[in-house]
Amino acid sequence: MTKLEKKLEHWTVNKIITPDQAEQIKTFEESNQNINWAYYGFLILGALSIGIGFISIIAANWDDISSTAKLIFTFLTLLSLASFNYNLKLKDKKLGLEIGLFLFYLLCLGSIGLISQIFHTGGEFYQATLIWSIITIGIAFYSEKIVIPLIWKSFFIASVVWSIADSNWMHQYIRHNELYFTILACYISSFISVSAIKLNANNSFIKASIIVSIITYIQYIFTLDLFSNFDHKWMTSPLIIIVFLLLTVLIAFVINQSKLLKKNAIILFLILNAILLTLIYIPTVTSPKPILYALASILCLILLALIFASIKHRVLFQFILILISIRIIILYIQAFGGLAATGIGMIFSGIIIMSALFFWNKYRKQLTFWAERITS
Amino acid sequence: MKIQNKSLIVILLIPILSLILLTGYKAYKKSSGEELNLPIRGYDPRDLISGHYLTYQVDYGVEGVCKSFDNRIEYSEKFEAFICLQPKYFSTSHPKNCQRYIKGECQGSRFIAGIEKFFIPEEHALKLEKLIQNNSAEISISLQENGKAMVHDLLIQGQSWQELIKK
Repeated sequence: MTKLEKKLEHWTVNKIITPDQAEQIKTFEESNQNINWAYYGFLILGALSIGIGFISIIAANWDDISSTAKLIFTFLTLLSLASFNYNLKLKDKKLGLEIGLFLFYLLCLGSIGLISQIFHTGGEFYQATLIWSIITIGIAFYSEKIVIPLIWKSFFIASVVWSIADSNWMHQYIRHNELYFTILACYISSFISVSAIKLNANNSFIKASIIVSIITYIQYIFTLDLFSNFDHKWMTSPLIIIVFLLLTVLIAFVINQSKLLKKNAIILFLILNAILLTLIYIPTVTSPKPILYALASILCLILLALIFASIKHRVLFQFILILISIRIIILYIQAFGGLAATGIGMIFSGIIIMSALFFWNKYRKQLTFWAERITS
Repeated sequence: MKIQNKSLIVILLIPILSLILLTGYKAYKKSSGEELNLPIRGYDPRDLISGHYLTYQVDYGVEGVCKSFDNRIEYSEKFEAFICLQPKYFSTSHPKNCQRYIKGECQGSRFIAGIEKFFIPEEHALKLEKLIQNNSAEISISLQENGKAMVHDLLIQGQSWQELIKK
């Protein structure tokens, strides 16, 4: 029995709606149903398997046929798949078109690999993925499902950041590369998100953009946290502080533009990032305390959890809860060090986590309502 | 709907045309440059997802490549560099009075010109490795006027590796 059927049964039993109304709702929903997500998921998996299989076959570097023949075969396959996709569009076969686009998207990468092999161009992987991202940007924009835009944006950001990291001028000026590049990833991601919203891109592209923005933000927080254990001197640089402040504003702008949240949620986001800034930078001037960075990371994650709870996005909320739990466990290991003490700490953490989960499960509705109120 | 259909055609044709242009450009570069053979050393076969490839160092016959003038390893970062093949010398600036040169970059003490990899089929990897280790090997390259080089072929004792493998 589906979720909807369970709800309809529950409402009918409690006489909120009549059995006829329940039947009407069910018929209406079924006729307007989006593609079943599990069915689509398996189809994507199948397409991915075919795509990777094709790339592997290309990678086997057939010696029996000439390079020209390999290239002609590849281009003919691309053309055939393109015309097949166009046909699917004319017949309004949405699911088939999505799968076809995904296969075509993967095949483009395989073709770049083949060209690289035939001409022995070598080069770095990020160069191939950058070319791939540029030539397939249209597919990412066009797709009505989230998979292609999500993969596209992730590879595009990684390629751009990696190519900047690998450039000669960057080596000359930036010594502690890693944190700067996570900041860069966050900026590029946010810029793409805002541009997508302003250009009225597909909902799937906007959604994928926002997800990647949030992921790069979390990644930045964790990198900052991680770096706190190694070197502090460079973190007092005014440039870092300014960059961080601008980044915070930009992320808030992205969230605001997405119209997911109400005004107070953004203010809360900014306040908690200011606390993060204080916790990180002011103590480093006097005596650096790595544990403060850990607390700051946890605070930021709690904020994100609050944001997702306020928009009733259970999956993302639970994902953030898992991240918070992992960070708490690592905190114990950092704080105590010894095996026995860590063991006790972890048991204690486990009890806290399970209690928190029990608490969440029991008071989920009230907590969601409270989160909604606090951000409205 | 018509506009959407037309945009789909454009979206699907752009990658195909781009890849055809890329192939054409690579083929042109390969055929238009001057052909040269350069000896190689330091063989190190590895696996990659794109198949097996051979990595090596090119023996330009030039001393002090990517090293300071007193032969100490001085540079720890990447920077552009050039190797003049006629007359033979290494330079960190554009070479003057040089008939032909290769443009690359120094990564630590290694000079990288994008010709240090050669793709070889999986099934011949071991055989080829033994052949190269026991014989002198060269790469045949195509050298452009701007110093960019592309690998053509792998030669073992003056013969193409494909002919040798068949024997």
